[in-house]
Amino acid sequence: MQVESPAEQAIPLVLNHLPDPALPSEDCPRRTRWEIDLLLVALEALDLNSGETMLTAIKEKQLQSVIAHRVALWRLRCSNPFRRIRSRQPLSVEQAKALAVIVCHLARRQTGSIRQLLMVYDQLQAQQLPPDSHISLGEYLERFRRHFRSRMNLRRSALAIYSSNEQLNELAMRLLGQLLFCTGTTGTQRIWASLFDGEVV
Amino acid sequence: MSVQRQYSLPYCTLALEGLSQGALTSDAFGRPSLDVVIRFECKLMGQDKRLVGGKELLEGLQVASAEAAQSWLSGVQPLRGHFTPKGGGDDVLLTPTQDDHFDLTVQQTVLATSEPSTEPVHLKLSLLQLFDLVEAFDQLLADSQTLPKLAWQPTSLLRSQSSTTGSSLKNTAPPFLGTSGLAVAAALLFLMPIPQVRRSPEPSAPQQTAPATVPPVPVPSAPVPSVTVSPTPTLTPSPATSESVAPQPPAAPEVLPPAPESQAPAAPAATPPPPAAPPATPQPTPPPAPAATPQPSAPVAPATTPQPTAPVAPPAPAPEAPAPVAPPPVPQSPEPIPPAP
Repeated sequence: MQVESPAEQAIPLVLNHLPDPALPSEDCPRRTRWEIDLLLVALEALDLNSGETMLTAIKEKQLQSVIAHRVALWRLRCSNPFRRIRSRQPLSVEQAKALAVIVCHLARRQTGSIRQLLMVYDQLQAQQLPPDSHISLGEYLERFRRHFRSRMNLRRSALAIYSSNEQLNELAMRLLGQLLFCTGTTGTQRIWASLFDGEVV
Repeated sequence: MSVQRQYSLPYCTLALEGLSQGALTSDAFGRPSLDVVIRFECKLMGQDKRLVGGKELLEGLQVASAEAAQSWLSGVQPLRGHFTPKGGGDDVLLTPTQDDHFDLTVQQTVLATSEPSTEPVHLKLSLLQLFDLVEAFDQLLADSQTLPKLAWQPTSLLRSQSSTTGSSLKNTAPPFLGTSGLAVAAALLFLMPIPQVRRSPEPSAPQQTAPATVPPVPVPSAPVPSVTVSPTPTLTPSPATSESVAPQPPAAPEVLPPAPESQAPAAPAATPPPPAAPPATPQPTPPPAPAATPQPSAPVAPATTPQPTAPVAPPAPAPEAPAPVAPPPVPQSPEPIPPAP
């Protein structure tokens, strides 16, 4: 006997903890898509193995119904409007929630590294030394700059502010600070709310 | 029953002293519930001063730190311009600075200090200190046995409550500057005279009449051989090279040879002017002909006097023997030639 309508895929429980923002449209705004992808890029710069860790996080958090496989994850990230290769596919709220959960899951695994790099950065700033003078921090910044330049469409006028190494370093350190807040007790809810600041009606 | 709770993080320590209103509210671990705060203390590592107060300080600091953290995360600031407790006063303010630090200002009214001072307390927090302060409060709020009535959930700012760039001037400046710049440029360009296209009417006028009147016809054709002949002598050995050196003038006399033979029957039959031309052209052409290229130019010029057709038509008409096709190029061909002289 055939089933006339396919069974509805249940929303993973982990996503129910995040509220649905009152958006004017069903899809996520540009800034949300841009910032989620940037956080993932920063995590990739922080951990060389983060690509596989993301896929592991999907299984651990039981998000397969939202992100089925590696290509689906890549497509969701390509919804970032400033990517060199971008898809016209919109990012739904459920998909954005799944990405936010993955970001926070990966960030918590890197809590020690994030705190240490931020502490070193403060010390270097106090001594008026360039951030590249520290080995670990320099590697993170160098990897982030490389990822950013290889994946983002730098011909977009909105990205003109990230043309120099110093500007990209500032962005990388800001993302590191955002990842720090993701590691908190309510990090997921906090970063989720910040993604829609000024967007809800 | 007096209860003490402490939430410690590397850069921040919160200590609470309070009372438990009932012994039955203990959790599975036997911890009594802290329902009323008597004393609240916040110690930030690296800061000399401790913040000591009561419930007002606790609630003000919690809301101010949470709002400051969220605004820093999103980069979207509330329209008020600074972070104040929701529905509260300005007892605790936490404002971001340019170097990713935060200025914490606490009024004396919420502090319990023995010093009779009215000056507010100022502290400068780093991002790590702010995070630990926020995280300590999050742990406090997550603890169901500590102030269970105290709750706070991060919520997104409404579009009407936010200012993404900080001031409306920054929003309106670019379009205003663009429009005004375009207006100024348009006004300046308006003052410039309109460039006039110069077209020599003389050459076009005679050519249009060329097929109709006999005299003008030889005029354009006459100079062609005369001018071309003079350069050709130096290049006479090969007619082909002369074509490449001087595009138009030499082409007329040297390409002509094939044309007259093929067009000879066609031109006279189609156009009446050609017959009249021969008598006119022989006069100018003969003199240069002997001096320069004896064979091609001299015989050709007089013979092909349908002149205009010769320069353009030669390649095409020669193979296209059909006679009726020849006339159309006649009126068109004169146009390229006149500009040359």
